[in-house]
Amino acid sequence: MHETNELNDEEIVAQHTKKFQKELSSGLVSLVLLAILNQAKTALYGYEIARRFQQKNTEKLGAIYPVLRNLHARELVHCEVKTSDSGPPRKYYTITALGKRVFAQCLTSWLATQSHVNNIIHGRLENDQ
Amino acid sequence: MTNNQQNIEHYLNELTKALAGQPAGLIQDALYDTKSHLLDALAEEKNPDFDAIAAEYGAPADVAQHYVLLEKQTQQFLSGKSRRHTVNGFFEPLFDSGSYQAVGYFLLAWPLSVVYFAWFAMVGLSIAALSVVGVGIPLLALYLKLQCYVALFEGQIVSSLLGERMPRRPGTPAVINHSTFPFGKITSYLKTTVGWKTTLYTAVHLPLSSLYFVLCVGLFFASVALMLSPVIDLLVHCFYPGDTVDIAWYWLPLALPAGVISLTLSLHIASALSKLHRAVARALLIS
Repeated sequence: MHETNELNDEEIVAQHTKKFQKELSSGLVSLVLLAILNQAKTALYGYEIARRFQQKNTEKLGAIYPVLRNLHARELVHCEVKTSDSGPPRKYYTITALGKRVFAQCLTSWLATQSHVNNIIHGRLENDQ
Repeated sequence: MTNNQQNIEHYLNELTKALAGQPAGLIQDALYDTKSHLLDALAEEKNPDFDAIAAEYGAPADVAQHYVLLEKQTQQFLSGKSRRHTVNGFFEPLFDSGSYQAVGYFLLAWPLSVVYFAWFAMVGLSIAALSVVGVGIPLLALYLKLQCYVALFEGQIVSSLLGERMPRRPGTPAVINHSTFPFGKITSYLKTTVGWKTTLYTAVHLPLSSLYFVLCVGLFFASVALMLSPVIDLLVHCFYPGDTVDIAWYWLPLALPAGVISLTLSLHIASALSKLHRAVARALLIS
């Protein structure tokens, strides 16, 4: 009986953690994708972006394509179809001038948030000790 | 068909099931993105393992969930804030920008339909005639492939002017069989339903747009002319004093309300025809 309760508790913790990670990453995927495109010297196609994204994140790759479409609709990235040597034509993405400006602002905001969150977490940990 | 092709097809089927009930345009976009990713991953990995690639990509249900969540935000961004009608009742369309956009579409649709019909009658039918004797079959496959892009082009116009969610990715065949190139590729395109359906669309677009033009655009501009006729008549008489048509300024109190009523009527017709054309586009331009 006790073991079953513990297992349920672990499941509940796992569910809450998964939900928290999902909420946390939902906004950050856009920022990471803009960062990747901002760093890129040439236009990148979906799979190239996915590969670079995976090096920086544990999020499933299926999550990035709807975000790319969203960024394209918001005119933060430019998309161009080019033929490829293997298989069908590919969509190549580059960051727009508007995207660069938005990225710079979001980055400032993210760094400020990160610093604020870290200060609170470390402050509390120090107080607890 | 190889194992990987079967696996991709199975994954795409699962994704389609997970997206059931969503707009057809969104489903086509999600399938296009997923297929491109899986094909690129299989082509570029040194030792491709489909299960590992699919696991990295995510379960179809999770991928579907991402698309559904982001779709709401994207649509909200594209269509702006939800429309608020300040006036209700008969005169409501006068204050709804969507009705004017529909008139804009019907105005644009007629010249476009002439181009579509010429493309269908001069190119499509010629290729179909050549295909009967066999030599035109590769050209028919190419024609059907190009139709996917015609559907994408027309879909974007319908999406921006009539507000229907249309695909932002072309409706290409699910999996192309490269093992028997070029026959596999030709057969894949011959089996593409969106290519055939778009061909039907390009054929029926001319009569449909002619009907829209007469019923809606004609009445719209006649109403505008009626509303402004006494004012325009004054100006015309200034430049051409000998003009025999005479609509004096005192007709304005009568011409203006009559023009507003017929203009509103034309916008009501535009809304109804927009609904009809959105249904036609949904049925024929999406795979």
